[in-house]
Amino acid sequence: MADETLSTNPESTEPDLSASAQPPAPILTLREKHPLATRWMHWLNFPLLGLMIWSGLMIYWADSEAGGMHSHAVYRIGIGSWTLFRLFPDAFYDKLGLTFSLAKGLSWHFFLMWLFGINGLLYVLYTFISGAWRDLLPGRHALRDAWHVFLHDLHLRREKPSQGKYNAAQQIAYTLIILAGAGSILTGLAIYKPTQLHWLTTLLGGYEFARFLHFWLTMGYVVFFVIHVIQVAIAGWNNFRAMVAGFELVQATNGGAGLNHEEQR
Amino acid sequence: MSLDDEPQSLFGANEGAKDPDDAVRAQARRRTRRSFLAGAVGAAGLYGAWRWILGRPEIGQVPAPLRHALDFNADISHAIFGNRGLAPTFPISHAVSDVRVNGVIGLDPALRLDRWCLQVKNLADAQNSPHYFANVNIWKYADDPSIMAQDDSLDTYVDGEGNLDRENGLPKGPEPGLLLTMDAIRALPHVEMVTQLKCIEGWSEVVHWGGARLSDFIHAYPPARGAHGRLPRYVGLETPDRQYYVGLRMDDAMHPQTLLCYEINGQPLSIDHGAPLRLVTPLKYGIKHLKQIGSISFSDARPRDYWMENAYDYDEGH
Repeated sequence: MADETLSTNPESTEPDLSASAQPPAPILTLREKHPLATRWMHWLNFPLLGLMIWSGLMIYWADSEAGGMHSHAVYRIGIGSWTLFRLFPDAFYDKLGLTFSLAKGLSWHFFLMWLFGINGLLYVLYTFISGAWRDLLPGRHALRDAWHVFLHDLHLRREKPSQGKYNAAQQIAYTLIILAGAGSILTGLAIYKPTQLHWLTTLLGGYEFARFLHFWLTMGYVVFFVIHVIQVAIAGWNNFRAMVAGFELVQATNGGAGLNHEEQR
Repeated sequence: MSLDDEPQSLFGANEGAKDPDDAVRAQARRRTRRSFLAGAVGAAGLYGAWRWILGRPEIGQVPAPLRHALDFNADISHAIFGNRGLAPTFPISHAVSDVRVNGVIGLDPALRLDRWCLQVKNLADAQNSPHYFANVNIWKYADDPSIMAQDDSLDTYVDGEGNLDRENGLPKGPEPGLLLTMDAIRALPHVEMVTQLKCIEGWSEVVHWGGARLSDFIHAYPPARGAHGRLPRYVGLETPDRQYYVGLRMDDAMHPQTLLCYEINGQPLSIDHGAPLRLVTPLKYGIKHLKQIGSISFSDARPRDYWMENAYDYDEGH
């Protein structure tokens, strides 16, 4: 939808525009970006996932060597019997007040799982019904484009890859995070009911491996969260506000054909 | 540039300008303000819900809404799975030879096995049995003083004559029922199974159990049926000293893999593993596998459960 020459290299075209006789005056417009439902589900997910991780850590504590009662092969970084680092150190649990709280962690985890799961399910349903999935699902050249976005973000590549509402890297990230959410629910069910749902547990590589997956998916969320927050901070206020208020301000020249580069993020 | 809707413009920094974009900016400010306000109300609502949950009366040391959620989850699980599903079984070669001992609450290491009796309460037609007693609570479990002397950390409650002190939760009135010996349990069909014992703390072990099905026991010693004509809804088990106690739904008790277990790896239970008789129910976590059964009772009301009183789920099915 964006004008190629304007959006891909605005710095070089702007002087041309100002040099011409009567450039069309840019008009500030308010463009809808994120629907109300998406915004609520996005922000609701933030405390829900945070509390799921908080209660999950209380459960892990009971099974981690540091501070807990049992060492477990899952909550560490290492290969085979060689361990580089154990998750998590005593001080981590102590500082966050997560020690000796297995029962508390379980009761919160098995209460919040409903809210987390329902919110996630509603998001997926809404995305499909509203058609928003078209903006989110990566296209055929997504991997190549995402690589270009990556290089551009690191200032290793000058041209910004063309994009719709989201760039290819965003599409991949936002799709993977939903798949990860589904993975968390499936691996969670597999370790919540490993006997009643033993077919699922077996399908996921067994009780121990399902726990491994459940744990590292969560670590993936933490990594996603950090990168996400950094990217949002870089993208700026206009982008952030769109996730709260739903709209973004764009510079449109006569009828909104040309879009200012600042709305690209 | 003119795309200057920075946060400070929320507070009217651009008042009075004549720019045609001002109307748009004003609209943007209005919507932003409204959305942040809605967000704040939402956040306050969540925080309020959090405070409300924490402020509710506790049931078994868990705020009532969370306790109801745990019970709701158990109802869903029972509705979906019933007691149809079987826990996976393993070849005997997978069973560990040295089974882990984890938890000794209510376990009396000095219990005299020759003075052990299983108290069974709330049975139908109990008075016609030769094992009938008008009050099974008169039975005195006793400790072996020589074993007691070896370890002063033993978790038992013994009076001056070596009899167990069983005051914890002892019913006020007499309870009629049967007093059975191990012979009665061994007379039931013997079954062996190799299943995984899962601890709620996270570890698990494959164990080779031997004993009698609790369902066979219940058929041999049928509980009294209430006015509804069905089996009572719950089975309660307690240790001789009444320090540890669990409750099971009847469908869990009737599950073909729920055993009154008296053997591990073909050998009689050691005292650490709950001699002479313990519960094994592989659809539940280890905390339901009560060691050293002293009494079995039946009721429609949910029997007390040690770990439920200590903030865990009542059902503990997995």
